[in-house]
Amino acid sequence: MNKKTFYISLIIFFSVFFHHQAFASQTRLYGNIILPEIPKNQEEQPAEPENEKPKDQAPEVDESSVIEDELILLLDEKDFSTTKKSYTPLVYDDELIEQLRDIKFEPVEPERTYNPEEDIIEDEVVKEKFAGRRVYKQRHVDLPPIEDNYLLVPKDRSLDKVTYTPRIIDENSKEIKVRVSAPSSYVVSILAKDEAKKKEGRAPKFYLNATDIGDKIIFKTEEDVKKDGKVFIKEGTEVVGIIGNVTPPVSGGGGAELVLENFKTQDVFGNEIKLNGKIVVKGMNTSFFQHIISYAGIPFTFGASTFIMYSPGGPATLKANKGYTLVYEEEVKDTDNEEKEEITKTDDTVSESEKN
Amino acid sequence: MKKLLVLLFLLFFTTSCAYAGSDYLFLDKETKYQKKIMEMGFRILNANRIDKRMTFSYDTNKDVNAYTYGGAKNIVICKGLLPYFDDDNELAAILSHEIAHGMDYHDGFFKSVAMGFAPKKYEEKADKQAVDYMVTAGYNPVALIIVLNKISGEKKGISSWFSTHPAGSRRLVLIYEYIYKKYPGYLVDNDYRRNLYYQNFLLISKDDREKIRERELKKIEKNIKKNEKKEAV
Repeated sequence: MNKKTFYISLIIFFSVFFHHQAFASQTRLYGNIILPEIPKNQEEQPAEPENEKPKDQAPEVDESSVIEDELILLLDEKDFSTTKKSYTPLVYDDELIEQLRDIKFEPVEPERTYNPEEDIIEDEVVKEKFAGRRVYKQRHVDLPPIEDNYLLVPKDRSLDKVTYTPRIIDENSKEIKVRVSAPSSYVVSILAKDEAKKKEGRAPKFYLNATDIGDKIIFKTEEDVKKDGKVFIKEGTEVVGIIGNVTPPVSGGGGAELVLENFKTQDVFGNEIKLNGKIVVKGMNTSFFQHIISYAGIPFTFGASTFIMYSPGGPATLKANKGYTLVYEEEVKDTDNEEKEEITKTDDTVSESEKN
Repeated sequence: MKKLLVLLFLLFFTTSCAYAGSDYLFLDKETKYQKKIMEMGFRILNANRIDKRMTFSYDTNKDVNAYTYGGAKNIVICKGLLPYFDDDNELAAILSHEIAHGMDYHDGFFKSVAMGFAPKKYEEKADKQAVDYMVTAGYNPVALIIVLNKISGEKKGISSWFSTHPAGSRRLVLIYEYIYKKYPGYLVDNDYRRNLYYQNFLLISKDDREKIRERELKKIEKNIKKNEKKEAV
């Protein structure tokens, strides 16, 4: 081996190695070497964990001292039972929205004000051993808690909390695949910041500021969906998907991402059906090409080509007429637990009859 | 001959580090923490139907840290973090954040290189994904705000140029905005309303929350105008 080839190979090796170390520190591929702890005596009892110590409870707050300037504007009349009584709640209505601009939401004053003589709580610091030293008393006050200001919730968004039910993948679980496609294309990029512009002869594009979480995109099924040999979703029915997350292209070659979820459609009978699955559209990751171009251009550009590595990746495009698969899952009943519930019920009835 | 030996030694040194880092065993007396972390992690994976493999482990190192090994897709929670958790939701928040990183590592080597160039953006992305994972697994996503308020640093200015994580205040506001848009029920009926750390967040983020509401109000006004035009037509 010649000296030149040896030194060139060393330079390339170290440049790649340290570059990877410096800029891929998140990966921790060459992470810390952790050795296992071997106990000296096998009969050692486990130490008491720290978390089982009694925790200091938070000081209780008097309800009367709480400032409640919470004003929840909800669009369904059912939810007004949760609002507070110190003011009249406003119903979100098309007619009243103009009045919202003129209204000033002033916080409600508390029923009583802070009194330094009454509200003092004295905590004594532990007395020191040596006499002559002063014992410093700490004074603190349990101030009333801060309430979250008014929340605006539009009609489309539900206030339900998700309840977790473990779904079992079993031989009985049936999955039916549904193919959908979008009639027009959508693009997430960072270049244009104006609102959506339609161009003649080209599909409409929604740019970054226009696409937001909660926006709807309408798909259509490509073929009939059958269940037990019968059609229950026809070809061409609309499937509404909601944008779950939008990430713009990132410097270093990371592409944009668009996530669509919560798909809903209707079956032949008009019942609403939920389809499981997510459509994740990712932009092109250009980091490989950026590295090659930046390294190759160093001798020609005196190192300025390294800035190419910081350029963003490709946009995420949801292409028109491209098929995506979603899944319709039937709810599998947990028959084992139902049998156990029936057994427990019969035991209770027997015990009651015996008592009588 | 000497040059060949030097090259072989360098190759051996670098590959042995990777080998040692990827195959290790955590043997610890406190197995119940390991079990709890595993159970919670696999529950999040199963609930979200994540079909990519990941493992979970508990480190007796007293660092206040949690991380994912990109090569082995192993998520590690250090012992120093445990005192910061007051309930299961907060542990689930950290696990789901690291699972989001693990999903990015599954995309390949070049994705991890891109993450090295813009780590702050991918941290923000992982925070948002963590909210989704927590909600589908049945945990309260507001706990993520509480945990990060306890743990995350607040680097701003020149010191933040070389940090891999964004400022804590920015992360908290982005998470709050995401929950506000997608899962507002958890803020309307907030179980952590009187929590000490959530109260601190409300104190810090007053201006940011008002800006979020102004944006929502503008959107609602736009939708009303659109509906009025449709009705007029």
